[in-house]
Amino acid sequence: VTTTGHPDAMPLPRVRDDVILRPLDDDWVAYDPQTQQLHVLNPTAALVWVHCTGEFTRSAVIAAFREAYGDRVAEDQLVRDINAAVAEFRRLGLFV
Amino acid sequence: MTHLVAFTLGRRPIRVRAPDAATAGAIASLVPGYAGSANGADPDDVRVERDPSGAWLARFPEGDARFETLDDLLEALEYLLTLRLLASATDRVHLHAAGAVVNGRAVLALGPSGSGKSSLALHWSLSGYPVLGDDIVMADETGLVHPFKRLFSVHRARLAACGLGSGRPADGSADVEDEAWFDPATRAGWAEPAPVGVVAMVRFVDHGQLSVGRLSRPTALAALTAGAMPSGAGGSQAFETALRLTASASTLALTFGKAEEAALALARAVTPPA
Repeated sequence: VTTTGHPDAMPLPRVRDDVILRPLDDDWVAYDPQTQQLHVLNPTAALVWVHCTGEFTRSAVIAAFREAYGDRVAEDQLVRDINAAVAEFRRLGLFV
Repeated sequence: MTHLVAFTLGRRPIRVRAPDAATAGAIASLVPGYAGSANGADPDDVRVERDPSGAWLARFPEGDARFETLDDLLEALEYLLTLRLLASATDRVHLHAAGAVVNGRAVLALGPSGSGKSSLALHWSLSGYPVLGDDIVMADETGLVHPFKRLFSVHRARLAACGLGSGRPADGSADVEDEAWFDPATRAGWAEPAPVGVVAMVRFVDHGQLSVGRLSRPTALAALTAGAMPSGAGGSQAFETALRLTASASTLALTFGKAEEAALALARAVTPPA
Protein backbone atom coordinates (compact mmCIF):
# COMPACT_ATOMS: atom_id res chain seq x y z
CA VAL A 1 0.00 0.00 0.00
CA THR A 2 1.32 3.42 -0.92
CA THR A 3 0.76 6.03 1.72
CA THR A 4 0.77 9.40 0.12
CA GLY A 5 1.35 12.67 1.93
CA HIS A 6 -2.05 13.93 0.92
CA PRO A 7 -5.20 11.93 1.62
CA ASP A 8 -6.77 12.98 -1.68
CA ALA A 9 -3.94 11.80 -3.92
CA MET A 10 -6.00 8.97 -5.40
CA PRO A 11 -9.45 7.41 -4.98
CA LEU A 12 -9.88 4.32 -2.86
CA PRO A 13 -10.13 1.01 -4.74
CA ARG A 14 -13.48 -0.60 -5.44
CA VAL A 15 -14.68 -3.60 -3.44
CA ARG A 16 -16.19 -6.56 -5.26
CA ASP A 17 -19.95 -6.37 -5.80
CA ASP A 18 -20.55 -9.93 -4.64
CA VAL A 19 -19.13 -9.42 -1.16
CA ILE A 20 -21.96 -8.79 1.32
CA LEU A 21 -21.57 -6.30 4.16
CA ARG A 22 -24.04 -6.45 7.05
CA PRO A 23 -24.20 -4.92 10.55
CA LEU A 24 -23.93 -7.26 13.51
CA ASP A 25 -24.12 -5.81 17.01
CA ASP A 26 -21.41 -3.13 17.28
CA ASP A 27 -19.42 -4.51 14.35
CA TRP A 28 -19.96 -5.33 10.72
CA VAL A 29 -19.40 -8.57 8.89
CA ALA A 30 -18.35 -9.02 5.28
CA TYR A 31 -19.13 -12.36 3.67
CA ASP A 32 -17.09 -13.39 0.65
CA PRO A 33 -19.10 -16.01 -1.29
CA GLN A 34 -16.07 -16.93 -3.40
CA THR A 35 -13.98 -18.06 -0.45
CA GLN A 36 -16.96 -18.58 1.90
CA GLN A 37 -15.00 -16.58 4.46
CA LEU A 38 -16.51 -14.21 6.97
CA HIS A 39 -14.60 -11.09 7.97
CA VAL A 40 -15.42 -8.96 11.00
CA LEU A 41 -14.98 -5.22 10.49
CA ASN A 42 -14.89 -2.64 13.24
CA PRO A 43 -16.93 0.53 12.60
CA THR A 44 -13.94 2.42 11.16
CA ALA A 45 -13.13 -0.38 8.74
CA ALA A 46 -16.82 -0.55 7.77
CA LEU A 47 -16.78 3.18 7.10
CA VAL A 48 -13.76 2.68 4.86
CA TRP A 49 -15.53 -0.22 3.14
CA VAL A 50 -18.59 1.78 2.11
CA HIS A 51 -16.30 4.40 0.58
CA CYS A 52 -14.39 1.82 -1.46
CA THR A 53 -16.38 2.36 -4.64
CA GLY A 54 -13.54 3.67 -6.78
CA GLU A 55 -14.94 7.19 -6.50
CA PHE A 56 -14.20 8.43 -3.00
CA THR A 57 -10.90 9.60 -1.59
CA ARG A 58 -9.52 9.31 1.92
CA SER A 59 -10.79 12.81 2.62
CA ALA A 60 -14.36 11.62 2.14
CA VAL A 61 -13.79 8.88 4.71
CA ILE A 62 -12.28 11.36 7.12
CA ALA A 63 -15.24 13.71 6.68
CA ALA A 64 -17.68 10.85 7.30
CA PHE A 65 -15.73 9.77 10.36
CA ARG A 66 -15.77 13.33 11.74
CA GLU A 67 -19.51 13.52 11.19
CA ALA A 68 -20.07 10.26 13.05
CA TYR A 69 -17.48 10.46 15.82
CA GLY A 70 -16.27 14.10 16.04
CA ASP A 71 -12.65 15.21 16.38
CA ARG A 72 -11.42 12.66 18.87
CA VAL A 73 -8.90 11.05 16.46
CA ALA A 74 -6.14 13.04 14.76
CA GLU A 75 -6.14 13.16 10.96
CA ASP A 76 -2.79 11.44 10.54
CA GLN A 77 -4.00 8.57 12.71
CA LEU A 78 -7.18 8.34 10.65
CA VAL A 79 -5.17 8.19 7.43
CA ARG A 80 -3.08 5.36 8.93
CA ASP A 81 -6.26 3.50 9.95
CA ILE A 82 -7.75 3.95 6.49
CA ASN A 83 -4.57 2.70 4.83
CA ALA A 84 -4.43 -0.29 7.16
CA ALA A 85 -8.02 -1.19 6.33
CA VAL A 86 -7.41 -0.83 2.60
CA ALA A 87 -4.28 -2.99 2.86
CA GLU A 88 -6.23 -5.68 4.71
CA PHE A 89 -9.09 -5.64 2.19
CA ARG A 90 -6.51 -5.99 -0.59
CA ARG A 91 -4.74 -8.86 1.19
CA LEU A 92 -8.07 -10.66 1.53
CA GLY A 93 -8.79 -10.25 -2.16
CA LEU A 94 -11.91 -8.16 -1.61
CA PHE A 95 -11.17 -5.55 -4.28
CA VAL A 96 -12.10 -5.74 -7.94
CA MET B 1 -48.60 -57.55 -5.28
CA THR B 2 -46.11 -54.77 -4.65
CA HIS B 3 -46.40 -52.04 -2.06
CA LEU B 4 -45.52 -48.40 -2.62
CA VAL B 5 -43.99 -46.25 0.11
CA ALA B 6 -43.62 -42.53 -0.54
CA PHE B 7 -41.51 -40.04 1.38
CA THR B 8 -42.47 -36.39 0.97
CA LEU B 9 -40.55 -33.31 2.03
CA GLY B 10 -40.43 -31.21 -1.13
CA ARG B 11 -42.93 -31.12 -3.95
CA ARG B 12 -42.21 -34.50 -5.48
CA PRO B 13 -42.47 -37.62 -3.29
CA ILE B 14 -39.63 -40.12 -3.29
CA ARG B 15 -41.21 -43.42 -4.28
CA VAL B 16 -39.94 -46.79 -3.10
CA ARG B 17 -41.61 -49.96 -4.35
CA ALA B 18 -41.39 -52.98 -2.00
CA PRO B 19 -42.17 -56.64 -2.77
CA ASP B 20 -44.38 -57.18 0.28
CA ALA B 21 -46.11 -55.39 3.14
CA ALA B 22 -43.51 -56.34 5.75
CA THR B 23 -40.65 -54.93 3.71
CA ALA B 24 -42.71 -51.82 2.92
CA GLY B 25 -43.30 -51.33 6.63
CA ALA B 26 -39.60 -51.71 7.39
CA ILE B 27 -38.74 -49.17 4.69
CA ALA B 28 -41.40 -46.72 5.92
CA SER B 29 -39.96 -46.95 9.42
CA LEU B 30 -36.56 -45.71 8.18
CA VAL B 31 -37.81 -42.14 7.87
CA PRO B 32 -41.28 -42.27 9.43
CA GLY B 33 -41.58 -38.49 9.66
CA TYR B 34 -41.94 -38.23 5.90
CA ALA B 35 -43.51 -41.60 5.03
CA GLY B 36 -46.94 -41.77 3.50
CA SER B 37 -48.79 -42.73 0.38
CA ALA B 38 -48.45 -41.37 -3.14
CA ASN B 39 -50.73 -41.01 -6.09
CA GLY B 40 -49.99 -40.47 -9.75
CA ALA B 41 -47.93 -42.33 -12.25
CA ASP B 42 -44.47 -41.00 -11.49
CA PRO B 43 -41.74 -43.58 -11.95
CA ASP B 44 -40.44 -45.31 -8.84
CA ASP B 45 -37.17 -43.95 -7.48
CA VAL B 46 -36.22 -47.33 -6.06
CA ARG B 47 -37.73 -50.75 -6.67
CA VAL B 48 -36.86 -53.43 -4.13
CA GLU B 49 -37.02 -57.09 -5.16
CA ARG B 50 -35.78 -60.44 -3.91
CA ASP B 51 -33.76 -62.67 -6.17
CA PRO B 52 -34.10 -66.48 -6.21
CA SER B 53 -31.22 -66.84 -3.73
CA GLY B 54 -33.06 -64.73 -1.16
CA ALA B 55 -30.81 -61.70 -1.52
CA TRP B 56 -32.26 -58.23 -1.88
CA LEU B 57 -32.03 -56.18 -5.02
CA ALA B 58 -32.51 -52.42 -5.03
CA ARG B 59 -33.12 -51.17 -8.55
CA PHE B 60 -32.27 -47.49 -9.02
CA PRO B 61 -32.50 -45.53 -12.26
CA GLU B 62 -28.68 -45.46 -12.16
CA GLY B 63 -28.34 -49.22 -11.76
CA ASP B 64 -28.89 -52.13 -9.39
CA ALA B 65 -27.40 -52.91 -5.99
CA ARG B 66 -27.50 -56.31 -4.27
CA PHE B 67 -27.67 -56.87 -0.52
CA GLU B 68 -27.33 -60.17 1.32
CA THR B 69 -29.50 -59.15 4.27
CA LEU B 70 -32.49 -56.93 4.88
CA ASP B 71 -30.48 -54.94 7.43
CA ASP B 72 -27.85 -54.12 4.80
CA LEU B 73 -30.57 -53.04 2.37
CA LEU B 74 -32.28 -50.86 4.98
CA GLU B 75 -29.01 -49.21 5.97
CA ALA B 76 -28.32 -48.29 2.35
CA LEU B 77 -31.88 -47.09 1.79
CA GLU B 78 -31.82 -44.91 4.90
CA TYR B 79 -28.72 -43.16 3.60
CA LEU B 80 -30.18 -42.80 0.13
CA LEU B 81 -33.49 -41.46 1.43
CA THR B 82 -31.66 -38.91 3.57
CA LEU B 83 -29.77 -37.64 0.53
CA ARG B 84 -32.87 -37.54 -1.67
CA LEU B 85 -35.03 -35.85 0.95
CA LEU B 86 -32.38 -33.19 1.42
CA ALA B 87 -32.14 -32.80 -2.34
CA SER B 88 -35.89 -32.16 -2.46
CA ALA B 89 -35.58 -29.14 -0.16
CA THR B 90 -32.78 -27.15 -1.75
CA ASP B 91 -34.61 -23.88 -1.11
CA ARG B 92 -33.64 -24.21 2.55
CA VAL B 93 -30.26 -23.99 4.22
CA HIS B 94 -29.20 -27.35 5.65
CA LEU B 95 -27.20 -26.93 8.81
CA HIS B 96 -25.02 -29.41 10.66
CA ALA B 97 -26.64 -28.88 14.03
CA ALA B 98 -28.77 -30.50 16.68
CA GLY B 99 -31.79 -28.62 17.89
CA ALA B 100 -34.93 -28.54 19.97
CA VAL B 101 -37.68 -26.01 20.61
CA VAL B 102 -38.18 -24.58 24.09
CA ASN B 103 -40.80 -21.96 24.86
CA GLY B 104 -41.44 -21.49 21.15
CA ARG B 105 -37.80 -20.81 20.29
CA ALA B 106 -35.12 -23.04 18.92
CA VAL B 107 -31.90 -23.93 20.63
CA LEU B 108 -29.22 -25.01 18.17
CA ALA B 109 -26.06 -26.92 19.08
CA LEU B 110 -23.20 -26.66 16.60
CA GLY B 111 -20.02 -28.66 16.60
CA PRO B 112 -18.02 -31.19 14.64
CA SER B 113 -18.67 -34.92 14.69
CA GLY B 114 -18.12 -36.24 18.21
CA SER B 115 -18.98 -32.96 19.91
CA GLY B 116 -22.06 -34.47 21.53
CA LYS B 117 -24.86 -33.12 19.33
CA SER B 118 -26.76 -36.42 19.13
CA SER B 119 -26.54 -36.95 22.89
CA LEU B 120 -27.93 -33.49 23.51
CA ALA B 121 -30.79 -34.10 21.07
CA LEU B 122 -31.56 -37.44 22.73
CA HIS B 123 -31.77 -35.81 26.15
CA TRP B 124 -33.89 -32.93 24.87
CA SER B 125 -36.34 -35.46 23.52
CA LEU B 126 -36.29 -37.55 26.71
CA SER B 127 -36.83 -34.37 28.76
CA GLY B 128 -39.99 -33.52 26.86
CA TYR B 129 -38.75 -30.94 24.35
CA PRO B 130 -39.80 -31.41 20.72
CA VAL B 131 -36.68 -31.75 18.61
CA LEU B 132 -35.44 -30.37 15.29
CA GLY B 133 -32.78 -33.00 14.62
CA ASP B 134 -29.65 -34.59 16.03
CA ASP B 135 -27.29 -33.73 13.20
CA ILE B 136 -29.18 -31.83 10.50
CA VAL B 137 -31.74 -29.04 10.75
CA MET B 138 -33.10 -26.80 8.02
CA ALA B 139 -33.58 -23.04 7.97
CA ASP B 140 -35.71 -20.97 5.63
CA GLU B 141 -35.19 -17.44 4.37
CA THR B 142 -37.38 -15.92 7.07
CA GLY B 143 -35.12 -17.24 9.84
CA LEU B 144 -37.34 -20.12 10.95
CA VAL B 145 -35.68 -23.43 11.75
CA HIS B 146 -37.46 -26.57 10.54
CA PRO B 147 -36.90 -30.11 11.72
CA PHE B 148 -35.22 -32.67 9.53
CA LYS B 149 -37.10 -35.75 10.64
CA ARG B 150 -34.37 -38.34 10.42
CA LEU B 151 -34.18 -40.89 13.22
CA PHE B 152 -31.35 -40.33 15.68
CA SER B 153 -28.41 -42.68 15.46
CA VAL B 154 -27.27 -43.27 19.05
CA HIS B 155 -24.79 -45.65 20.67
CA ARG B 156 -26.64 -48.59 22.16
CA ALA B 157 -24.76 -48.10 25.40
CA ARG B 158 -26.06 -44.55 25.68
CA LEU B 159 -29.62 -45.67 24.99
CA ALA B 160 -29.22 -48.37 27.63
CA ALA B 161 -27.94 -45.78 30.10
CA CYS B 162 -31.19 -43.89 29.50
CA GLY B 163 -33.23 -47.01 30.15
CA LEU B 164 -33.84 -47.65 26.45
CA GLY B 165 -32.88 -51.12 25.23
CA SER B 166 -30.41 -53.63 26.53
CA GLY B 167 -27.27 -52.02 25.19
CA ARG B 168 -26.73 -54.99 22.92
CA PRO B 169 -27.67 -55.54 19.29
CA ALA B 170 -30.66 -57.74 18.55
CA ASP B 171 -28.37 -60.51 17.34
CA GLY B 172 -26.96 -60.80 20.87
CA SER B 173 -23.42 -59.76 19.99
CA ALA B 174 -21.47 -57.78 22.56
CA ASP B 175 -20.62 -54.89 20.24
CA VAL B 176 -21.83 -52.08 22.47
CA GLU B 177 -20.18 -49.53 20.16
CA ASP B 178 -22.86 -50.42 17.64
CA GLU B 179 -25.48 -47.75 17.04
CA ALA B 180 -29.24 -48.01 17.17
CA TRP B 181 -32.09 -45.82 16.00
CA PHE B 182 -34.07 -43.60 18.32
CA ASP B 183 -37.38 -42.21 17.08
CA PRO B 184 -38.21 -38.85 18.73
CA ALA B 185 -41.87 -39.43 17.82
CA THR B 186 -41.93 -42.00 20.64
CA ARG B 187 -41.19 -39.19 23.12
CA ALA B 188 -41.76 -35.45 22.75
CA GLY B 189 -42.02 -35.63 18.98
CA TRP B 190 -40.81 -33.31 16.27
CA ALA B 191 -40.86 -29.54 16.67
CA GLU B 192 -42.81 -27.06 14.61
CA PRO B 193 -40.72 -24.44 12.77
CA ALA B 194 -39.45 -21.82 15.21
CA PRO B 195 -37.21 -18.75 15.37
CA VAL B 196 -33.88 -19.19 17.11
CA GLY B 197 -33.36 -18.35 20.77
CA VAL B 198 -29.92 -19.85 21.40
CA VAL B 199 -26.99 -20.78 19.19
CA ALA B 200 -24.31 -22.72 21.05
CA MET B 201 -20.97 -24.15 20.03
CA VAL B 202 -20.78 -27.37 22.01
CA ARG B 203 -17.90 -29.66 22.93
CA PHE B 204 -18.07 -32.94 24.78
CA VAL B 205 -15.16 -33.68 27.12
CA ASP B 206 -15.04 -37.08 28.78
CA HIS B 207 -15.73 -36.56 32.52
CA GLY B 208 -15.65 -32.80 31.89
CA GLN B 209 -17.44 -30.24 34.00
CA LEU B 210 -20.27 -28.19 32.56
CA SER B 211 -18.96 -24.81 31.45
CA VAL B 212 -21.07 -22.16 29.75
CA GLY B 213 -19.58 -18.97 28.37
CA ARG B 214 -20.47 -16.26 25.94
CA LEU B 215 -19.67 -16.70 22.28
CA SER B 216 -19.26 -13.61 20.15
CA ARG B 217 -22.06 -13.19 17.65
CA PRO B 218 -19.67 -13.01 14.66
CA THR B 219 -18.10 -16.30 15.79
CA ALA B 220 -21.54 -17.89 16.01
CA LEU B 221 -22.41 -16.45 12.59
CA ALA B 222 -19.19 -17.83 11.10
CA ALA B 223 -19.89 -21.25 12.60
CA LEU B 224 -23.44 -21.29 11.27
CA THR B 225 -22.34 -20.15 7.82
CA ALA B 226 -19.57 -22.75 7.75
CA GLY B 227 -22.08 -25.36 8.93
CA ALA B 228 -24.24 -24.93 5.85
CA MET B 229 -24.19 -28.22 3.97
CA PRO B 230 -23.70 -28.34 0.19
CA SER B 231 -27.00 -30.23 -0.18
CA GLY B 232 -29.00 -27.08 0.58
CA ALA B 233 -28.98 -23.43 -0.32
CA GLY B 234 -25.47 -22.07 -0.01
CA GLY B 235 -23.34 -19.02 -0.61
CA SER B 236 -24.95 -15.68 0.07
CA GLN B 237 -28.34 -17.24 0.94
CA ALA B 238 -26.69 -19.37 3.61
CA PHE B 239 -24.95 -16.30 4.99
CA GLU B 240 -28.09 -14.14 5.02
CA THR B 241 -30.09 -16.93 6.65
CA ALA B 242 -27.39 -17.50 9.27
CA LEU B 243 -27.39 -13.77 9.95
CA ARG B 244 -31.15 -13.85 10.61
CA LEU B 245 -30.75 -16.87 12.86
CA THR B 246 -28.10 -15.21 15.00
CA ALA B 247 -29.61 -11.71 14.99
CA SER B 248 -31.85 -12.22 18.01
CA ALA B 249 -30.24 -15.29 19.54
CA SER B 250 -28.12 -15.68 22.63
CA THR B 251 -24.79 -17.07 21.51
CA LEU B 252 -22.97 -19.44 23.85
CA ALA B 253 -19.95 -21.73 24.08
CA LEU B 254 -20.59 -24.83 26.10
CA THR B 255 -18.29 -27.63 27.27
CA PHE B 256 -19.79 -30.63 28.98
CA GLY B 257 -19.22 -34.14 30.25
CA LYS B 258 -22.82 -35.07 31.00
CA ALA B 259 -25.24 -34.61 28.11
CA GLU B 260 -28.33 -34.59 30.31
CA GLU B 261 -26.96 -31.68 32.35
CA ALA B 262 -25.89 -29.77 29.23
CA ALA B 263 -29.23 -30.30 27.47
CA LEU B 264 -31.10 -28.82 30.41
CA ALA B 265 -28.65 -25.92 30.72
CA LEU B 266 -29.19 -25.02 27.07
CA ALA B 267 -32.96 -25.36 27.39
CA ARG B 268 -32.93 -23.00 30.37
CA ALA B 269 -30.93 -20.48 28.33
CA VAL B 270 -33.86 -20.03 25.97
CA THR B 271 -36.05 -17.13 26.95
CA PRO B 272 -39.64 -16.94 25.74
CA PRO B 273 -40.36 -14.53 22.87
CA ALA B 274 -41.35 -11.04 24.01
